Amino acid sequence: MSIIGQATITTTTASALRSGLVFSFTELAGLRDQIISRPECPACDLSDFRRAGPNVKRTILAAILAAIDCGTQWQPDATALLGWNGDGCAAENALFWQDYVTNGRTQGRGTLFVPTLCSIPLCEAAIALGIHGAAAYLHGPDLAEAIAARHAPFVMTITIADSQTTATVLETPHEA
Amino acid sequence: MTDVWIEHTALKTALGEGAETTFAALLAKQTSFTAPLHFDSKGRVLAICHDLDHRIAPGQSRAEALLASLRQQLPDRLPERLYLATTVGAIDLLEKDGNPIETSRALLDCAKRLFGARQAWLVAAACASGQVAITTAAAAIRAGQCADALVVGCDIASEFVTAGFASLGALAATTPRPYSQDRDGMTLGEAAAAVVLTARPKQPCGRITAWGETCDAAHITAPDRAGTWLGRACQTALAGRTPAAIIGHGTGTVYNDDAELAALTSLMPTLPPLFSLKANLGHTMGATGVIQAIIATAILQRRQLPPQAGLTIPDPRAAQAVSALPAAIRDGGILSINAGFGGINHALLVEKAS
Repeated sequence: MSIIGQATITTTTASALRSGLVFSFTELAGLRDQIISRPECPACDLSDFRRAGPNVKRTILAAILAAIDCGTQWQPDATALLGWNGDGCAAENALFWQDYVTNGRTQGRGTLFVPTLCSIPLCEAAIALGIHGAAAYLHGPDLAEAIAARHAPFVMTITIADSQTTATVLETPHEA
Repeated sequence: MTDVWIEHTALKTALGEGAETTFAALLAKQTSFTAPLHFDSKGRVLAICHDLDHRIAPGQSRAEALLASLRQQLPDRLPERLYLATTVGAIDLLEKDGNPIETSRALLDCAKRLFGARQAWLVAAACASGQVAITTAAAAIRAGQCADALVVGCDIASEFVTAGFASLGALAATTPRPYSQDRDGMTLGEAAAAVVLTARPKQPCGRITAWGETCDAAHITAPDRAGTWLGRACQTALAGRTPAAIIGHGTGTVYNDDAELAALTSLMPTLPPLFSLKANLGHTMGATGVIQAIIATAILQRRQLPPQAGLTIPDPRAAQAVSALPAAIRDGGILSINAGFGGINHALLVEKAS
């Protein structure tokens, strides 16, 4: 297995491993504009970007930047998505529940309910980039084994932890 | 390639405990929808395990009680490796005090303790979590990472999830009617299910043969109604084989039926017998894939597909495949389908043990 692209987004910077790209930002919308203005940016659908929460936005942008970092090796149809360890959805769960309770337990808000699943950031990245491989979030002891179980030629791992999101694209020995 | 066998099963649903009891209830077209006593469902019915209502200790999750029911059905000695499929885990712990807590990991810790596992994995792929957990474990066995593994799927009926699905307009007004023309949504349920997967079976009840996984990459809550990528997942699992029967995802929503029937009819002009257990057990989310695998083994052993509960006038695309009566099945495997939010698709082929 080898890394063919990687991107990390913190609260103020975004960087790519192989290409050496670095962006500073104050708002994620500004970072989006910087990333998608790059000529090497692959085709992506960001029509729902505005409605996403910060974790989802960071995941989408980290995935796009990692795809840019892959250069010509980027193949969305042959890529699986793997959310790996890091933070789960505790904050999103609490947000939906507190909003529901505050509103008299009469009706929840769909826009707050959907992100309560740990796999949602990955799937938002899949929609943005047209990634059609398997998608799942795993929490466990062995990343290499989790990657091998995806049975895909390329696996993009995404870890969200401590306000930092890292997307890494690996080439695996699996054939398409 | 190493074969992966299903050796032991355990099941706890609103229709009872164990594969035998549940399968008999499915054959009898029993349903299980009642009002919950542990939260205000605002008039909605769900598939509830009411025997748990008075068994939950203060500070304990209802999910822990569901898992404890499974433990009693399994052998004393279990694999050291555990895969837990759940969508929201011990979500009632959050409901009790509102403090942020990793509810899925709380349930993983609980499962690790209850089943005596030394290595525990959490698998979260929305409502496809159950089958994704099975094939993640099967892949580890095939790769020689372990000789056996316990796969558990578990989700409870909760105010949290009921309010969430209600906010999306996904719930049926009464009870679910998968593959019927007048279907109007899903009905939630709670359940836990477990299978022991092994490369060294003694008395296997089924075999995990193949699977396919894809993502629609189309919409965060709705499936791609053309079923293109779900069809691709089924095609990978089937690899040219025709299944003896299909356990569909069959939630009872219009969108699910459209995507599923489009995918299946694109692969098979004449569909084999088709059935969804969500009209009996409700949509049990992270548990449903494991339940479907267990029911697949029961169908193969008895060569009989349960009747479709809730069926009124069949959707024309499914009219030849769904039946209100039990159906005999021919030789072949059972194709089981899971789909989840985010466009996650999973197709699993289960075959006879012999």
